[in-house]
Amino acid sequence: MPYVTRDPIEIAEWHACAIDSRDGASVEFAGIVRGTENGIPVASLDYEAYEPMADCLIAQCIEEAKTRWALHQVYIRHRVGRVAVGEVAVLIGVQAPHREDAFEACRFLIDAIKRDAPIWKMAYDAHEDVVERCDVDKDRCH
Amino acid sequence: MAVARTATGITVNVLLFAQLRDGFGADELAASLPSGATGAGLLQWLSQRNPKLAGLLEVSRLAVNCEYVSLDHRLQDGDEVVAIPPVSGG
Repeated sequence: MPYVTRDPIEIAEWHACAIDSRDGASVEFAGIVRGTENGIPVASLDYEAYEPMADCLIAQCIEEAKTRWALHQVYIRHRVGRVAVGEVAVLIGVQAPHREDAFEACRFLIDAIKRDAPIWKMAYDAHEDVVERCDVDKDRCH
Repeated sequence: MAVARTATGITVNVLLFAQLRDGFGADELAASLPSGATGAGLLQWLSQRNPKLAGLLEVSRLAVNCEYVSLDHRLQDGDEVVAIPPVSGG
């Protein structure tokens, strides 16, 4: 299952997922490219990934989330390649019977991906100059 | 009787990403290590090859077969090892 994609992320695709009749909560987190990093204007981020491992790691995170919380539906997509300001870079959708499980699982998934998925980004300005390699000082880039 | 050290050594293929790829100027390297070499040994080998990257290598992780491995993980001949500098996804 490819969770890492070069194509734009369509939130509508997640919204189109059938809702399990046991579920009463749907939570989503969308990570969107900001127009500034550390006060410097940014036009786009360029994401690279070690894709086989990123896909595998995300699948493992989903399995772990499903053992820890009652979830019936999980949707994850993470972009690689160039992503413009305002576009969705990562989308996590979770459906569960109750909101506590949905919120906690969604939070767990985005935190795990940011901590462990082999994905890196570089920030570019409108002149295509590198503003910042975000893994140099990751705290400034989140 | 002299025995060539390489006869008892191992070779692993190291995949490099992001800052490490930029720093080494290559996206993969073949590392010749002594038999029984660990992840720590590989990081040391990489540091010796490019001392400017020692600080970055200290905060990098290694993965084999798409799983993170600890510094005391024993590498096998022919392993493909991924060197993963601090990540910044999301």
